[in-house]
Amino acid sequence: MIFKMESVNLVYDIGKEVQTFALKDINLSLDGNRFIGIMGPSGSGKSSLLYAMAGFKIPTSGKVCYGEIDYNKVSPSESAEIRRKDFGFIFQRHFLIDYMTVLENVLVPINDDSREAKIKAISILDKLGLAHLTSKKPYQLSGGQRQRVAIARALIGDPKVIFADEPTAALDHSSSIEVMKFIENYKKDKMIIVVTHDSCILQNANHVINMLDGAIVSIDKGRGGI
Amino acid sequence: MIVISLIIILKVNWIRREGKENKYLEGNITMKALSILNYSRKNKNKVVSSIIPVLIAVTFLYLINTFVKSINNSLYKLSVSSYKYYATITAYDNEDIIEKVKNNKNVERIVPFMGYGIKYSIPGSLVFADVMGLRAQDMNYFLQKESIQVMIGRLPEEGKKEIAVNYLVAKNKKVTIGDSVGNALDKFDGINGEYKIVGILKGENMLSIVSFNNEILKDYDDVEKSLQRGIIAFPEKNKINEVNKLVEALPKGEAVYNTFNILSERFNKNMACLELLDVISILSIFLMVITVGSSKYVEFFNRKEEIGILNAIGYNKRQILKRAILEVLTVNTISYILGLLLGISLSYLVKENIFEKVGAIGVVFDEKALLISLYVPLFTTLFTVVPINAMINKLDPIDMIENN
Repeated sequence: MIFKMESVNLVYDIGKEVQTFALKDINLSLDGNRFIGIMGPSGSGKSSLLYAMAGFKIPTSGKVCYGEIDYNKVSPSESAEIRRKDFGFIFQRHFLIDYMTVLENVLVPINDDSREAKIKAISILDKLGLAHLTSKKPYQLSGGQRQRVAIARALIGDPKVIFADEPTAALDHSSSIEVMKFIENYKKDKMIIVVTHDSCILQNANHVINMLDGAIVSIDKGRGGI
Repeated sequence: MIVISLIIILKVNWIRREGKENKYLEGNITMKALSILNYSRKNKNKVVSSIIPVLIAVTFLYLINTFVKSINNSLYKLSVSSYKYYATITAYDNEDIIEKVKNNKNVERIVPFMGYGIKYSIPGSLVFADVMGLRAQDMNYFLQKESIQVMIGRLPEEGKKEIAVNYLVAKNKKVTIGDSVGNALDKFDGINGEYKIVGILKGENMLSIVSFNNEILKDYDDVEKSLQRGIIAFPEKNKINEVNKLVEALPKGEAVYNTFNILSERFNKNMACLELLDVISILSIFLMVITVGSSKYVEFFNRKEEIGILNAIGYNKRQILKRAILEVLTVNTISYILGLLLGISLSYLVKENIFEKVGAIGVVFDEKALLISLYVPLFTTLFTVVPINAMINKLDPIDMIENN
């Protein structure tokens, strides 16, 4: 199992009169290279689920494991190391570093200036149709192009898992389709977990986890395997 | 045939791809994305505006310290350094004191003198340069003991109103052989009438000499001028410490005793007013640290998103802090080096154009100035890194991502 969640609760406002359950009694096991969607309305806990799996959020109770690693038992530094080596992240906004070029932004996770690293980055950018923009700055790109650079940044370290939190929320329809198409290309090599409230972009997902009020209400088992 | 064709196609594709990658590599970076050099190259204005205030503070502190050190060294040479070779006793009534000194085995010779002065003015100070009134028969002995040489001209003749002036003092007063000094020409001179300059002297100290004449002899007998009248006790070879101890042990209140130790102590006490300089230095450092530290913190605060995303994609807080410290240290080191270079250059200009031009001692290199100006980058680094560390520790990348 790549990810295993056992009785996971994530509670905000502990000690206050009204507590908020971001995640409520989550039991989940995920493995294999596949495309997994997490669906739900705003505030349903889908992002919290993703961040708990990525080790960003430590649950109030329960256990989240990545492989053999129990997030409760690792330090923040070790958790960061796991994120850098094994995970790639795509967020709702691109979060590119404004003073760096496209190529430099892609190389940030590996911070490598070797020729090989640059060729690898250019090859990823080429697949994303951005090779001609390597020396441009983020402000010189369109929204879709920036998001594709963020995807390239997520892929540069050959991650085992790609976490995408609403990756198309800031994009128009055609850019969204383009971005998703590219992400989906990797589903044979990596586990891709995409959080969204837009079912359209999960059309090709192998599995979809539906959430409401912090709990998993259903899993689209039709596409099998969870 | 098919295999060969496939190989050719693959090879051609590979060459095309390589060519494409090479094309996009051209003109691209050759340094690590997160390196300080890359940040500096891409943020020249920010880096320059971080460097300038520290550079100015370092330059200012270095310059002010060398300036004061120049005044200090000039006045020390003027009033203390001649006492390395003798001790004096003035305003004495009791001849036994003089006899006691004269008969001491460590005293080689005693020389009677009358002390006068001529105006010596340097930036921040207006004082007298010592003029020793000596008998003609003591003059050569005095010059030899004080390692003074006649640079130009000759020594004053006995009975005449002539003077041999130290070359630095002459430079200060802008006079030369043939000119005259004295309170008849400059009311700030401390020697009566008008003395014609017949010689220019050069030596380790800044003494000028006049020969006894009728007027000086009159002064010598004037009770009211007893403070100026005295004897110089020259020690036997390497016996200056013994002579100083002898003079310092003479009965207090019966004469005025001047030795190297007494004058050094008095000089340091007078120069204690320069502690004001330390206060100015501390205030400047404090102001600079607050100003630069805050602006650097604000700069990092504005890069919160960058710091957040680095943490989100897997750089731990220690790595991020290390990068921030390196950045601050680099900027401050560059500022310090440039500030020092500018401070040294300005000190050189001040030495040449302000001090040496008026016959004073200019200082270009000074350990204290180096050290005090180092406090600016050191404290700025410290007071920048501490709040940045607190900011990094508080940073929640998910909070940053969700709130953007």
